[in-house]
Amino acid sequence: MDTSKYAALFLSDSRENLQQCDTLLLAWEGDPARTEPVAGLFRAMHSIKGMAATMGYARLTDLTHQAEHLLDSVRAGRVPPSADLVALMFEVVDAIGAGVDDAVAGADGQRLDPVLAVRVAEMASGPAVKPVAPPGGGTLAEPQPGAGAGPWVTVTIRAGVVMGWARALLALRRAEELGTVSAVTPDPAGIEPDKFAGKLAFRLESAEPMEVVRAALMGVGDVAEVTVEDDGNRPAELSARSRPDVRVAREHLDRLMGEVGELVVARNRLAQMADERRDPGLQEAVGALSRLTDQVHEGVLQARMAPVSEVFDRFPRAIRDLARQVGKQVRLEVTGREVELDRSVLELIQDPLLHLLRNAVDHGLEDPATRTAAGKPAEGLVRLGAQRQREGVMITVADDGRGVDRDRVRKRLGEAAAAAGDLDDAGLLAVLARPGFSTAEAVTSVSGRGVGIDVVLTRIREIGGGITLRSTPGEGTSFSIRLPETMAVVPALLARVGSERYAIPLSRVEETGRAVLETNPVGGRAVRFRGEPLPARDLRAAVGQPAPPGGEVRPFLVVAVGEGRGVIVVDTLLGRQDLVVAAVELPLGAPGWITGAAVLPDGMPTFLLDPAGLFQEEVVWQR
Amino acid sequence: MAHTVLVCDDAIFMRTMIADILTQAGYKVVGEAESGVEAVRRYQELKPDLVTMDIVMPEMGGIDAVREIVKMYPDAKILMCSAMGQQALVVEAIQAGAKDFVVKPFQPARVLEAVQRLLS
Repeated sequence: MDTSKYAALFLSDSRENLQQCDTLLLAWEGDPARTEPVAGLFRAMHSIKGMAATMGYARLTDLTHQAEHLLDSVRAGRVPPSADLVALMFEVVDAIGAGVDDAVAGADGQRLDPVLAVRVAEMASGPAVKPVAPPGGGTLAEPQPGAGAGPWVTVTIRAGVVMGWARALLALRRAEELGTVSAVTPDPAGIEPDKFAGKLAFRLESAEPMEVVRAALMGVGDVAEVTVEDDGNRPAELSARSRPDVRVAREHLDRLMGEVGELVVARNRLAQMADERRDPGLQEAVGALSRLTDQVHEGVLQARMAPVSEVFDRFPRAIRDLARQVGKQVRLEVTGREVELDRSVLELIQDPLLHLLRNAVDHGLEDPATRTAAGKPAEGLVRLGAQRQREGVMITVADDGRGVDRDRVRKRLGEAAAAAGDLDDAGLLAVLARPGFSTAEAVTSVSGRGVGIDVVLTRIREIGGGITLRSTPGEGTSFSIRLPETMAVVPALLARVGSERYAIPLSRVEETGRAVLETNPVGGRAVRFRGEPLPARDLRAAVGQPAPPGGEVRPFLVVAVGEGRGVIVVDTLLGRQDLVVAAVELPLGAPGWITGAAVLPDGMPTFLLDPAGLFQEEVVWQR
Repeated sequence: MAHTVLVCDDAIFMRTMIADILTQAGYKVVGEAESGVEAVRRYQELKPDLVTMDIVMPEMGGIDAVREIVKMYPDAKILMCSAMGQQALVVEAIQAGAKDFVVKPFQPARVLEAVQRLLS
């Protein structure tokens, strides 16, 4: 597809939307109680989000998504309108304006402050209000457990399908066209769509032969299986909730996960080639392969999930011991133990969580005498909670202690205090997370909130998550940690060309070295490696950056290309990095050798390369 | 004869992209609408074989447009275009009479699959 055409449309459409946002925001600022500006802003954010997602601008998509969610919460009355809210939206609209320009220029997220999306998300979570019940059964048959007539029909939706419940509902409607439906399980009136487990069962009294019924239901799309049980017994798998477990060695799962990661990368490359050849037969075959790959991926991810209790349950003892040691009375309240996370995510957050909990007890909570004097119960409260969210999981570590003493942080900053701004929660976190700041001995006596926060933040970012801080003097401090539910990790070698960083899967790299890129007799470029001239590609040229002056010694990496080897020349080799490959769509115009995207620990995005692909195409990435 | 399609979305970007996907696959895009009100009007005028309908649009949203169209033409084939995380709205649209849905960001193959399902 011609991306340049879409990029231009994206730019003009987005700018038009943003222009409207300015007008709407001014109207809203004048009267925060008005609802029309909110609806208009919501539509604008939604529109930009959809476009950005389609163009593959992941960072811009994330911010607009958070903003849309926030506005939706305002619209639904879950978050009250306020001057702060309007001010935040002004900031968001400005950031999106810059973000749109950057994204089109090929630098998605360059000027986007990652904290902004988190602040928006924070505001959206607002005061806790009961979630609104999903829309009820409407035109659908009311479930009549045990009653009804006809055989039981079970429809299994393919694993990993987005909006599985909506898909199941289409099957149900199709069934209603064929006969009388009863005893629908799960109950459409009571289900939370996002918790649908993939199986829908109902009784169907129909004049049609069962083969016709089965074919009709399979035709709904994304249906893996339709079974019909004629004996009138409810399908066993739905009535019995227990599921047999099998023990699987951890390393098997890890290996499988790695292989599935590679499979996804190979699939992406194949899909790109199929698109280029415009061969419908090939595209169809790749489409089928693609869906299967997604299912296998989803299946493996599912198998790796474990409840957070596996980590949470280790903390009470450690906290109790620490409390005794420092002479404090502490109650640890744990919620959401059943929430599930990928095992590797769980393992990686254990230390950061313990760190935050220890900080809360050691420095956040006051000693019993001070608490009593301040009118608080002598026993301090530390809360550790996990909560499933629309995307991922939120883990909270909170205490009801003294809060961070901002004046002392400011003193500690000295001359840098002015530059740090007014130390709101986001600013405070940024200061506490400065590597130098955290190790300073003086800070421990300020509040203890500095120790190792940089380490915690880095770790969380590495696995694709984020942290927000909220601290109120005298009331306490809380950290909210946003985590992806699952992750796919690819060990990679990071290389820099110009101002951009690219990642090459470590499994493809054989050696590295330094050499001068020379023009070889055949007209291509070559690097002499151990006396042997190897075909070479300058990554600078491939990503459309100006060529450096010739004759310069530059680092390179040797990669396997088919039966032979090739050399990729870069500006700087940055070293090994385990990348969490994000589930983002690649930009439409990206060449086939761009096979994935990931966010680096510093919050900036990087692209994953297929080195062999670089030698099969002379395509320069036109951006 | 090629099947006719009405494309409804408030973003030109999305309309262009959907129209391109469909045109390249041999469908005939006979009209576009950028609001729910316009979608209903254009449907009456064009009686297309298929409608792609965005959920969030100004004036009248996609779900209300589905209700209006299905009230007049119960056999209307309407394909909802939804963003991720809008399952509750998609469910509502299906209850209102939409026949299928696709989720943004669009993969051309998925869009065409759904269109073929509806038109077969």
